[in-house]
Amino acid sequence: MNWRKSRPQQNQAASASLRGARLPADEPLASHRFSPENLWGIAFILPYLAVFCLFVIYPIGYGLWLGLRLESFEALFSDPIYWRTVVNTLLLIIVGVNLKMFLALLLSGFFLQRYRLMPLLLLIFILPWAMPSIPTFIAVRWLLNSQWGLINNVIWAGWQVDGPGWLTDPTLAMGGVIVFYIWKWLPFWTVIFIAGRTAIPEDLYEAGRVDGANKIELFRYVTFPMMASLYLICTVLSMIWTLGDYNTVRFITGGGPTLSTHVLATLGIRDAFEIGEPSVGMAAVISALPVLVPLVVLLVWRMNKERVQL
Amino acid sequence: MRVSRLRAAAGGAAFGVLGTLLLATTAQAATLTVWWNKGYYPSEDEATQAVVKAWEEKTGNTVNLSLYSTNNIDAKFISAISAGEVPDVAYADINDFLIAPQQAWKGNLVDVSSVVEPLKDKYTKTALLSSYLYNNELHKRSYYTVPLKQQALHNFYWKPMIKEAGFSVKDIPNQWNAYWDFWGSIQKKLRADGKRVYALGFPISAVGTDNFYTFNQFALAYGAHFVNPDGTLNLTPETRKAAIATLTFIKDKYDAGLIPPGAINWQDSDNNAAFLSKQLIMTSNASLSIPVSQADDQKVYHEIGTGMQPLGPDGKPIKSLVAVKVAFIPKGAKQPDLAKDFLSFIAQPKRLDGMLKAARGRWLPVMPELIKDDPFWTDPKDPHIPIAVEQEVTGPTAPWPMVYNPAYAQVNAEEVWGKAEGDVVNNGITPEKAVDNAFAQIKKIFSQYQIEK
Repeated sequence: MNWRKSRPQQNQAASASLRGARLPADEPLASHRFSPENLWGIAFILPYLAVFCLFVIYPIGYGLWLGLRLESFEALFSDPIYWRTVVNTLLLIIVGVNLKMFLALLLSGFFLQRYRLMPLLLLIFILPWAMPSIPTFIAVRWLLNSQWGLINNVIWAGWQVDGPGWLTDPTLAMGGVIVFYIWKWLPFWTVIFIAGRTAIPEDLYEAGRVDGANKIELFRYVTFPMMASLYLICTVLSMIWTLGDYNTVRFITGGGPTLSTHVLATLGIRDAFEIGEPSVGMAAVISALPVLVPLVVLLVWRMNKERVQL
Repeated sequence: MRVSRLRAAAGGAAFGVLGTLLLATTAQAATLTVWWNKGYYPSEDEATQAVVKAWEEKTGNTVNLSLYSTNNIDAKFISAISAGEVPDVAYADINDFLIAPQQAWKGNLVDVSSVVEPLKDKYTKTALLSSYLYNNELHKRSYYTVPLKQQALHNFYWKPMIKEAGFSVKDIPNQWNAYWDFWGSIQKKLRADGKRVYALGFPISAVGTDNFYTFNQFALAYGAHFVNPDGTLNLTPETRKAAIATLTFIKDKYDAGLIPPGAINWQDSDNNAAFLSKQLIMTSNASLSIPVSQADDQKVYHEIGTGMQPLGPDGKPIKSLVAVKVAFIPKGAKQPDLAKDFLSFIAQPKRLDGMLKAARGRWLPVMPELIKDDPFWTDPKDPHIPIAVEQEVTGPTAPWPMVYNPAYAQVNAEEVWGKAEGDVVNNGITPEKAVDNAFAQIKKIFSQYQIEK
């Protein structure tokens, strides 16, 4: 049902009923505002408003107040590692997120195949996401360690040479962050897309097969169009979450080597608490807003649009 | 009538006196909020709690004690000071590095001269200097922190590895170049046997505190004094030369394959882990945390050796850069007078001694009399503690430059030297260029911290 189409009719009906319902001639409008129903309504909404103000408006307002100072931004922009950090952040949200979502879309089809061992495989696949992120990333850090990490120890055992500096070469380290970020979050989005795929009516595939479509064509002309909205919303949502992702970089590279793999989330914490300049830390986080706000607007707009189509 | 009035008056007076006494008692029993660094061993926390309990019993007050882990405590303190919701007493192991000098500068700490002055004769000169910080609001120096314990950089090595390479501990040279080359020759011999070990575990990353501790200690050995005692910068050609020599020394060792490549991205615990997993022949580390962590296994405890620093490149004894661990009272504390009383109580020599011993000797005393009075610190059977005491308590020492000017704390926090090390060993920048870049950044930081003479 297209509820938005029906809404004007409902509104018209409601307006007509309101127009028909007259207030008593001698009753002032103010007294109606303080009718028991309205007072009850206000009473019920007050706790929510208080919680909202205390835990949403105040922290955000305080953060903005801390960060929105010219000298904080001057200090931030003159920091030699800031622009490198911006590039890393963009790499993570553009390359990391999109690669992850595309792989998740492909894997969701793979896991829907009806093989006997597929549920077990899916269970193993989900494990990296199911594990708490901090110990997982610490384990990754140890895996990649140049000296006592598993990979380079295997290389040493086999060939008596030192393996690559996974965490000591800036390019390899940032690459490692992206790879293990994808590895960690791929299962979650794969499961979301599996759920999305199962909602596609089987009739559409049957019709496609009758028309002679092969698997790739079925994906291109049935799966992808049907999943497009979900895919876009999930991608935008993932970008928003990834902008605030602190754990991946913090626990895999620690921002190193030589401060070359920081992202805005870790730089903000570094500036605020390691250097002891909370206002510069807030400025680092606020500097992500030009990317974050359009993403949120796009997400809300898209979700609103999707509701219309349902 | 008169009698009854007298009785009523007497009853009223008695009631009043009792009431006043009751109110007075209630008013005296205050609650002190104390935030303290969680110890590495349960015994450390137990010792802290015991001192807190003793103070509670003595004063009749209560203490609301919160123990925070080392990883969280800096963020907790900085957030609290920024928000104005502070505890009465704050102690963190990194107060001296990252918090106290800057907060004293900003006028955010309570003057604790009344706590430190009575104990002045008991403290080492370095400990006193480390607490005598500059307040830029009042444009004067004063005691803004209370010294509790200290650490310095020590060299640890595996005795069995030395033996395996055909040497003995007595063969360790005392001259600067020969000393470092010695570890390289052990690596060569052990590698020839197929062992994947590295000679020198120098943390040279741009995270944590171990890296800048190591760099600054080496720079001091080469004669670099970045800050004058009056707080002004000392970036003279001599200092530049010493800093270049320090970076060149590190680069040479790195290029020779003596330092693990991964050291440029080590966090504070990584050289400990690499050493304890026997991938390093020797490592430099602040405090005695490495051997003390093995105290439950006496075999391993004795297999690890703690060595004195060699003579400097100029052939003279090196001063040990001593980091003094301090507690402070943030401005805005609800009970500043009680907090001072608490700190005076805790800073008494015997109590400090008990707390330090509970940490198994990981940290060392800031009061030399403890060394004389307690054989724990000089036991010749212990392979680590007496050597560390000789190096950093009775030997020549120097305070950290941020004691003179908090700008140097920011130099450390921004990892200026860690970045220079990384640039030199990993990014192909010459030591000269790296030092010039570092000096430019240091000058910029110091421009925000001008001390009036």
